[in-house]
Amino acid sequence: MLNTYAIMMVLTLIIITIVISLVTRKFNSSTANFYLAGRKVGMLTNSTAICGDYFSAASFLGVAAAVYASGVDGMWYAIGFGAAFVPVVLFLASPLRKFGEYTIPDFLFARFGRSHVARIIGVVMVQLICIFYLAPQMVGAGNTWNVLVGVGFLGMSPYQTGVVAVVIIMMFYVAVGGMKGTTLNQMIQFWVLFTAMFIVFALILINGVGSYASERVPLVNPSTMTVAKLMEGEEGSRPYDQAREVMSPEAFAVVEAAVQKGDPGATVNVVLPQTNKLHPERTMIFQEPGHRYDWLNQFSMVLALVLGTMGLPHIMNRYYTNPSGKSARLTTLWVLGFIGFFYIMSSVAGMGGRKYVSELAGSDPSITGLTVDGLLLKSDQIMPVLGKLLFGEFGLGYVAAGAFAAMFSTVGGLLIASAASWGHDIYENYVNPNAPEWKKVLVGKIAVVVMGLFSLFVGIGIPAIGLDKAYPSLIAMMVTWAFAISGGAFVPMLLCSIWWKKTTRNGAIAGMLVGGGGSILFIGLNILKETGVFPAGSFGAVLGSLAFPSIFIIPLSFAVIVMVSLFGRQGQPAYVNSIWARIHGTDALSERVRLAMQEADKRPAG
Amino acid sequence: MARKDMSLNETSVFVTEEEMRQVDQSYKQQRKLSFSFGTVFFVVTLMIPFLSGTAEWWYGRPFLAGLSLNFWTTVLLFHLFYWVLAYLFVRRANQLDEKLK
Repeated sequence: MLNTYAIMMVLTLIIITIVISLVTRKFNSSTANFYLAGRKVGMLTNSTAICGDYFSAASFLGVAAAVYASGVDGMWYAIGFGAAFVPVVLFLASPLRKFGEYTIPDFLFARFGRSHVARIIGVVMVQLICIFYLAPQMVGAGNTWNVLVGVGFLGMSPYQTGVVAVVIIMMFYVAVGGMKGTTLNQMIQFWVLFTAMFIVFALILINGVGSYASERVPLVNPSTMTVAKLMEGEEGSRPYDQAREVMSPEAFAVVEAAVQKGDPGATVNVVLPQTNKLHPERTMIFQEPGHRYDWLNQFSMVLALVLGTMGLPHIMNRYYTNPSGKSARLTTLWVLGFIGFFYIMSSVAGMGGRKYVSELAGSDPSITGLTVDGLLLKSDQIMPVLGKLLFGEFGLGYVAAGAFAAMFSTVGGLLIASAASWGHDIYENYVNPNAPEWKKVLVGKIAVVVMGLFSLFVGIGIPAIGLDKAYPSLIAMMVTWAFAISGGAFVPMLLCSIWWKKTTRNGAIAGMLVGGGGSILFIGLNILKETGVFPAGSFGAVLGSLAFPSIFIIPLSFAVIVMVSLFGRQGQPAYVNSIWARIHGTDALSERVRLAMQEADKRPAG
Repeated sequence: MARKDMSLNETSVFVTEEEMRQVDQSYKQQRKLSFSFGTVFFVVTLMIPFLSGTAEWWYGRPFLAGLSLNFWTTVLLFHLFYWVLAYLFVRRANQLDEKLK
């Protein structure tokens, strides 16, 4: 589906991005400017940039898709992503800004008595979170290119071409524009994706949301399977029999014809009624919970999403760019307003999709091919499809620009966070502490390029190892993994460090290792189970059955921090009172103590 | 009187006793405020999956326009709840900051 409008709009977005990066490149004379835009980013600018950072492909394409496919359980993403900034404003926004460092590893170093070990573990965790968050953006880039452009260049597949194109653009604009350019770009990209979502939302409200949710009809979704799989089981309860019950006679005739041909390896697209994992005795309907998650995973997922944001390095780094603690809180309030409205719009878009795809898909041959019996085969396509069905080619183009804006803005924030971690935390502190400013900035830019190239290989490697086939909603799933790792690695550590004076360095280190390492371990086991490495019923498969480990890992990490801090031999940092004044003092006192401590840091001991 | 704080090189003085007293007072009040609002937030948030698993009146009966209270909460009411909660918190936290200045 090569769409001229889409290509033009995405190209316009890219050109604006490049121009802004070039215009702002002179601003990056120092590391404070390159990483933090001089700590002088205004409230509205910062809040829209944080939203740009936050709204990734998972938010723009994935939430509406999850609601379209799963109803209430899909709305869990909207709730979790939306409410996640409440803990940020309650517990972290102001203290973190008052503390006034560059990055989370910097915070660890200063908070725990100049601990190099804590800082380096923090760097490792930041990089792991960035990789887990970058990977789904790459998948989104490849998939969107595949849908919109549909052709590859230089011998690459369309998917690979999309990944390469997005990475090259991102490396250029972040390395050249720094935090200032990235912030301005994210602000523009935010408004592009926000207005794209608003157009779809408004058109659905004007034309009517439909009655699919209130009719209490069984929830049905399409599925692709072989004829052999279709005919498995006892007569009357086979997928074949279930499909015949719910599909229209015309659509089922196509399935029947494939079955009659007698090739068991042939694939067919069918529509099947869905089961309720929460209340197995009830018929699964759109407005009831249980399509995706059983009870344990309902709790675990909401905890992963609600708590995970507090540890996302690219979001938390933005709090250091606020001018004061008070403005950090107000910024978060603006962010909450924008994201709350955005996720309400996403949920409505998903609901409306049930009505408009089934009613209008038949009138547009380019959409008909993406559906079976009026339902999209890939729910991740719901946003561009709704854009086209409700607003024609322009709508499709605008939604495509919104999708790329979402990817650009998130990848930009992640690359800056990753670069700050390598360039600032490692190079400036351990490799060449006396390097001139130009050299430090250059190292930051090289770190952007290296991390960009690494994410390119990850993006291309994902289909190669079969992850896209193992997980039906891979983009949203991978983003949730990133939230789970950040929730385990950083959230208990940050909360304890800020609100419990007795937290020790060893306690924080142990908490990060248990939280971050434990999350990665369980996610790895889940991947091995879903990709078939662990056979069904094996011990490994049992261990890997927990999709979101946060419900166990976060409390465990808290417990480890408390136990090690209370019972370990190591005491508090010698200057913990000064640390406390930086975190909980007035803005003026915090700033004064911060500068005094940093000055003392530079003086030789004795 | 300025207190001698154990600094990086054991000699620097960063905060006075009077300033530390104010910091402790500010910390206790902010902690009370943050954790009170945090408790409300987490109780309400975790109540949703709890009711989804236990209360048929919550997830299975029409409440308005044929849709259950669970549905209305996830699509609209919860978003309003957390914004209002955050607004009230920010207002009170900033008032507290001003008072402690």
